[in-house]
Amino acid sequence: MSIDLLKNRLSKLLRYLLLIAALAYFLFPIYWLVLTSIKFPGDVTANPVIWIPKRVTIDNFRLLFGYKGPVWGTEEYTGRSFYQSVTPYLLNSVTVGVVSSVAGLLLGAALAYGIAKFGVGRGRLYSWILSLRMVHPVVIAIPMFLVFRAFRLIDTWVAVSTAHLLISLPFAALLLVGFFSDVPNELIDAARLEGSTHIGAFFRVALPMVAPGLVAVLIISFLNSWNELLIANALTNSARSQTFPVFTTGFAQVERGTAWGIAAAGGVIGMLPMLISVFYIQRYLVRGLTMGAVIE
Amino acid sequence: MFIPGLFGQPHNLKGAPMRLTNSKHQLPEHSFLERAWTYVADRKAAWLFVSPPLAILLVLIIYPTIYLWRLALSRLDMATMREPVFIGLGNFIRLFTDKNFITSLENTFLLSIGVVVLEFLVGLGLALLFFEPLRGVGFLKPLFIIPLMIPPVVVGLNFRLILDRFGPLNGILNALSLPSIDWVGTPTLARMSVMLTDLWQWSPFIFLIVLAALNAIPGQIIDAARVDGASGWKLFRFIIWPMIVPSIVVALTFRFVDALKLFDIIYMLTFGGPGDSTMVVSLYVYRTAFRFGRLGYASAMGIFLLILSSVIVWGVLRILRLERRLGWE
Repeated sequence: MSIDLLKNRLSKLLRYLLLIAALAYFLFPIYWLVLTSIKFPGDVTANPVIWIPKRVTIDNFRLLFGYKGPVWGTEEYTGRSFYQSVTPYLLNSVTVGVVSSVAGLLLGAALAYGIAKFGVGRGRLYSWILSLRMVHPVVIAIPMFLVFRAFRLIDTWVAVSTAHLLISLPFAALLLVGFFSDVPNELIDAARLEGSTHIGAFFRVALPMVAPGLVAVLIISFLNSWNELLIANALTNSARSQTFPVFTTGFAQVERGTAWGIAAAGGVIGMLPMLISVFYIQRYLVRGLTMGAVIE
Repeated sequence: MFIPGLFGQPHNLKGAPMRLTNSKHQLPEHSFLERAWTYVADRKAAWLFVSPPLAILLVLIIYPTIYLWRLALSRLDMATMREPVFIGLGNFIRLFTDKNFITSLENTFLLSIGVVVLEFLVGLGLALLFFEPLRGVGFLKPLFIIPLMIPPVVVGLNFRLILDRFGPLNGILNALSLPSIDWVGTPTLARMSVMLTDLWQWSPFIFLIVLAALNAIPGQIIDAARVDGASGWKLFRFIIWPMIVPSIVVALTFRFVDALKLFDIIYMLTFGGPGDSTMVVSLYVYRTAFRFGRLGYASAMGIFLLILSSVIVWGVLRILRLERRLGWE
């Protein structure tokens, strides 16, 4: 379909140029991050700027993962030992992400089923859950910090997962209300008539029918948790439980240029979950980001 | 549709038949007692699903919220960490005379409005480019979506590299024999840099929503308008625009609410500087609570934010009219 708005005033060439400019703006930062992560330290802030490096290395990634042997192709140079390995932070992030998104999915699915198929709350409940998305994370972080402190849970993955559950549960519930609404009531009635219990109909009929939605919710929940900084930062203070974004903030304090190759390597690792899942979740992303308010 | 009641029916069902909200089917052939029982059993089943998640949500939300109110009315410093001392509205009075807090609020609104306007323009432009497709560009769409879900911390780091004194942006300027610019050195430039970064991450959001809205317009409408002689700007202004405006309003509202939470990018890029030119409210509250340990005072700010976001949420819900859209109300 075309509306001839651009076609009439902009030539094809100009539209291609605009598209290329947009592509350059959106892809260049990613290119630059990847490029910086494989550059030698001297090349990162070289003047004039090196756009296409003549020599590349994977030593930034080795340093990022705590490698302490010789790097940069020299025999005697030893990687500085003060670079903390990213491994525990990645493990923390995965733990928190999996726990909060799986728990959020299970609980959220039950809540969504109740709202979509039994009309619990008559829309008010739905609005209330939607309003949770608007709440500022710093408002959650302060009381959570004190509550977990009272339970001596600060700096554990339990605390961060629980706090992230507060994001993933409403997210899953709102999104799945939309998916469950698409499941024909007749199918559930049929299962009930065949003698199935409500729980049985839920698990054997409704859930399998929204399976693609469940996967999308799980992935987006995981990404939300993977990306979240403020709450994770407030509730943790050591490598025992700090997540990947908290680790990355360490590079904000680093003096310019000194560890940027390694920081960029970290950034590349941080982008991986999205790069892997982008093709699957692109269909659901609009729903996900607006908590189901907009359906593509 | 035939829904058997519990009594006098050939099949002895384990539970009560389901009364589905969206179905218009009544059970006129059953007695009041039967219907009452059905209703109760149905409610029971509904609560079976809803109560565990709701209980967890309530514990996770209500208890901390009450705690937040209590703290907001008390003095509690992390340095001493004694029991909170009740000081009434002291924190709130301090809040409205705190110049830094008011500055951070101003910055937040300034940046939020700025990024929403910019993202609207870029997102709409992109969507229109994609709507009248050029040969072979369809596969490019996922590339524009990537920024949406990569960690904002990484985005901040990324733009720190790009905006660096010896970074690529200054590299281009130098190549054009222009002097380097310290992109986060002055208040105006720092704000622009923050907006540029947020623009990169979030204009794809507007792009996706507007493109979806454009694609949802039935082809017949456009054809009919064209038969009537509308084309180009007129077609867009009078036919397309009214049809995509609701989606745009939704997109902008969501973006605005999220822009008020701006934290990660600033944490990485400027940390509120230079001076307090990019100090946003989330960073200010965060610093007050977790750097300076003034938990009581920070809670009062939190309450203020809570009320502020409630007002905005109320507005959003009015705008979205979600209840009506979902067929409740």
